[in-house]
Amino acid sequence: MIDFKQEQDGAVLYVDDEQNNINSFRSTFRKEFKVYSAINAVEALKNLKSYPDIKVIISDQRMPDVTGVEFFEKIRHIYPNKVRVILTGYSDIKAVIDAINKGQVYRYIDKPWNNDLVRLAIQDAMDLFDTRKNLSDKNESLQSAYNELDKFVYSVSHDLRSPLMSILGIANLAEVDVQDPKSLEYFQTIKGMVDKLDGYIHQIIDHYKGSQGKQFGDRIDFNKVVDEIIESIKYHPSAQGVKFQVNLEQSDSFLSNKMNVKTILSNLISNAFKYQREEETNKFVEVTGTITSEKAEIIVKDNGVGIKEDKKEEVFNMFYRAKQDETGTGLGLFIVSEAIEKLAGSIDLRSTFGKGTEIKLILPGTSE
Amino acid sequence: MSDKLSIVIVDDNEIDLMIGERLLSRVDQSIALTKFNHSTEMLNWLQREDENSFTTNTIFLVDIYMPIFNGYYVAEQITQVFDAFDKKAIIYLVSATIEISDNRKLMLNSRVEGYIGKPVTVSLFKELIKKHG
Repeated sequence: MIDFKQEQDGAVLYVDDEQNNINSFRSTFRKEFKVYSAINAVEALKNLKSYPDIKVIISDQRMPDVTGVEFFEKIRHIYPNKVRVILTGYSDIKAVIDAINKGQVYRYIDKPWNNDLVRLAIQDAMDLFDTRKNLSDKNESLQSAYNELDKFVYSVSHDLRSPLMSILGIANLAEVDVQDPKSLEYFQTIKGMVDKLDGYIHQIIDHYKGSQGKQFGDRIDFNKVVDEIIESIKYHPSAQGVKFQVNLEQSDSFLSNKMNVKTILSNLISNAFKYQREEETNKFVEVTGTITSEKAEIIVKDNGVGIKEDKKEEVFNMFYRAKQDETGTGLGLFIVSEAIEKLAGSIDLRSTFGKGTEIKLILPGTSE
Repeated sequence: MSDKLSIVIVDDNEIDLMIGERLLSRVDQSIALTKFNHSTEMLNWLQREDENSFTTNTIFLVDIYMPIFNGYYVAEQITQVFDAFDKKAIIYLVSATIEISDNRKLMLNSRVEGYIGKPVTVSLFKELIKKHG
């Protein structure tokens, strides 16, 4: 029982146990909407299966086999996107309100119906269907873009890094085999460059993982995090001859995103080591702070090169590098500021050029 | 030649194979090295050999990302073959990837000793020989 499609893309299914109502509905709306009809729930289910273009279902509440609300309850999990409208007289209003509140029904129409109101309800329901459909299509394409990105990150971390590690291997081998001091110097330079490029790859991955982090329920032990960071940089040439002190008082457990916290601290601490002054005889890096469950307040302090007044804003920009001769990528503090933003924290930079830098970091803890 | 220790390297990257071979020879020339550029070749070889072909301990350095059969599969096959032997297979999975998210996969196989990040170095070979030699 199909009327030909008129203007609307998509169809309405009208369910009612009274043939008179069906006839009247069809004759009123067939010019504006494509209408299917069913005399009971079983026939309605058949129609739903056969005609995927149905966007809106209008059902009478009072039917002998099942009520309209019961029918909707039955199909809402099979056809979650179809918009459900109930047709009812006042005596059934309580059951219908309940159904609307439970999200089983989008709207109700009084019986006997007013044509304009029904027209409007169908129109709104169709719009809702299209909006939902658009949203789920967008979600789907976002998900596939996201998967593509995952693949890309994987290839950065493997396909790009694999030949780089071969270069490093060859340079290592050459260092074992070659005696000529000049050649040795060349190979060491190559290794230095590989290190730099590899650092860049690491930071891209860090950045990606940081931007993915949606979990804020990691329990963070700041002393442990700082220990891990120190463990990973203590053999680095920049850490040699620098006195390192940690004094973190953590009274409560602190919840946040561990990946982001680690990224922030590891960049700040490794910068403090990296930007030391050659001539300073008492080089130090100090990490102090207090952590409660609400707030972590951490200060990273050094007596290194410091930052010029007019560069203080710039250091957080992407690809800004303070020193030409350093091995930095210009991504470190940019990643830091992104991670801080993600955690709704703040950073305060105090620095005197030629004397040292003090960075105060405040991060809010999340609740369980 | 050492009776106790030998090393097998499987890697689809020829340069990395060469690096491994030469670095090992600089560290200890008495250790026999068998190398394979394709996982299929290596698996065929593994099926052909019997227990007498192996030293008491054999270290397998297996690249994870290889075409046709990946490192995890190769590690499983090594484990199956050595289950019937009285000799020991020590498997290390090797990769240039920064982070192995498949740590659980590593742990599934009890003969897999660990994960090695590329490139292999002189100090790595020294450590392996000290530990298993």
